[in-house]
Amino acid sequence: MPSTPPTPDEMTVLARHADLNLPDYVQADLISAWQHVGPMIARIRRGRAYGDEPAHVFCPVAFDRKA
Amino acid sequence: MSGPAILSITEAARLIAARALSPVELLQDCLARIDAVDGVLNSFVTVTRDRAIAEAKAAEVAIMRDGPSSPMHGIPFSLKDIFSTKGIRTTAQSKLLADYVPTEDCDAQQRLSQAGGVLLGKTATWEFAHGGPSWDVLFPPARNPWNTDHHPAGSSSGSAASVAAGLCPATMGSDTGGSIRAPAAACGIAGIKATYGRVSRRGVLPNCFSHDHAGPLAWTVEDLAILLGITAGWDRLDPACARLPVPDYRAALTGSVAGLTVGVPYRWIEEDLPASPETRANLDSALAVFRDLGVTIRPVTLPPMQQYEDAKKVIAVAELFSIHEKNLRTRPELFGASLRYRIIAGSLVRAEDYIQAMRLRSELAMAMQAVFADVDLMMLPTAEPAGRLEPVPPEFLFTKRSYQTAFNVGGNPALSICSGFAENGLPFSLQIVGRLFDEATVLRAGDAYEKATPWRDRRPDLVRKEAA
Repeated sequence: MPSTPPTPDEMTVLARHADLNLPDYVQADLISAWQHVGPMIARIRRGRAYGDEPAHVFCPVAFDRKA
Repeated sequence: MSGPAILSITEAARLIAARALSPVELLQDCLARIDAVDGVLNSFVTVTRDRAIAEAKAAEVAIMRDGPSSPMHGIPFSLKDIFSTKGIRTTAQSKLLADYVPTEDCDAQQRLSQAGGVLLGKTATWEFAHGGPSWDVLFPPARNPWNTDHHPAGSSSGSAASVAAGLCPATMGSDTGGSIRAPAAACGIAGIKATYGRVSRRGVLPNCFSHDHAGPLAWTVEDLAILLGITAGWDRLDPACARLPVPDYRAALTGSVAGLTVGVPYRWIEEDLPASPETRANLDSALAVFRDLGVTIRPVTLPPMQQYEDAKKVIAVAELFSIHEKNLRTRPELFGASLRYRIIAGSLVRAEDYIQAMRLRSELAMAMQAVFADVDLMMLPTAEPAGRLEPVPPEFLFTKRSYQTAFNVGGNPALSICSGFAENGLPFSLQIVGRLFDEATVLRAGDAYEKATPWRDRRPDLVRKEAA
């Protein structure tokens, strides 16, 4: 994550890249909310060992509806 | 407050089995109380009056003929309005689902109905169990029966308020970051989020798939044991559901907790999220009760609370956006402002961010399970006593910490019970957390505490408001 928060103009670009065509009031929400979510993401540790599995390991049996 | 509506499930079931109370009489008293006070509480969004009367009459006939088939036979219950009910509007408190009538029942409705329960209606929630309290959604927010100027917390707001006010003895809620336990705490009742996968979420509108739990709320822990015994168990149609046997939770309530070891995460309640002096004193009093019952108390250390909050919220907003993105793109005006703010925050979370948050979740969950190598249970407050019902800034979800969220990240069973009352009459709460799939010990401890303390003798004083 970048160390400085994106500007409103940069947020508009990011939103466009996310295929979002938002009315102004929702775009304002996005700019405000990202001021809180961005730092949360930045605090999450990176640089893990290759084998560190995420918490959503796929369990195929769980999707066997005939079981 | 008097009448059969304020009986616990346990008490009502005993009277019904003895033919001393009719399910119809019990239901009529619940309906009368709803008529009398729910105009103030806003705890129900739909009352299934005619259907409930028919179900209660059928239960009465069956019980008179054969006796009750379960402790829930003839007992009214409600479902948070994100639980799908065939033929009954299920709104999630959202304008988006104002006219949504499911064609299938959720798993909880199927199980409770099969046990003979009487569906009384659907209860108020924060919009899609996430954004609230809100005044710009389909229904007004529920209020706290101990003081209607105060909030009942969320998101299972109406479920908790209706039980505390004696409108309905049993209900089901959902908990993604505390949404069963916080309302139970605010309203002075009992609520349990069992282990992730213990209770099927099939037919429950999703909030955050990886953290969503369904579970019961009721007046006492013994009532929870009854409800959990009925609603827990494998469901092949919920991929998260655990294929494990369900113990007899009620039989586990022996009253004895002597020899157990309880860990207290003191750093969390002193530094990470300092408890108020009143709440800390209440916790110490509750721990003293357990000491007197033969429990050993010792400190435990968990990773910083903020790490649990960060992992859960990054995962949550990403999943939330994936659930609601179509409606957000096409008709954003139908969302309440609070939920819309939280959904849009997920639109820019990258796949890498989500996966790194999931890797952190693995680490945090393992750290939590490691603590249980040395203790049988953990105890801490569920929340501070409820504050006034008023709008909160939408970013509050992102800035606040809670004593509850970490146990959604870990997936551990967590129970909230009433542990007394503050000077202003609002309830204090105690949270009891257990090893994965060891709900029986959690419930045993909660039940022992309830029976050693007088808090179940007090009900909200709605008499003046009823007369007003």
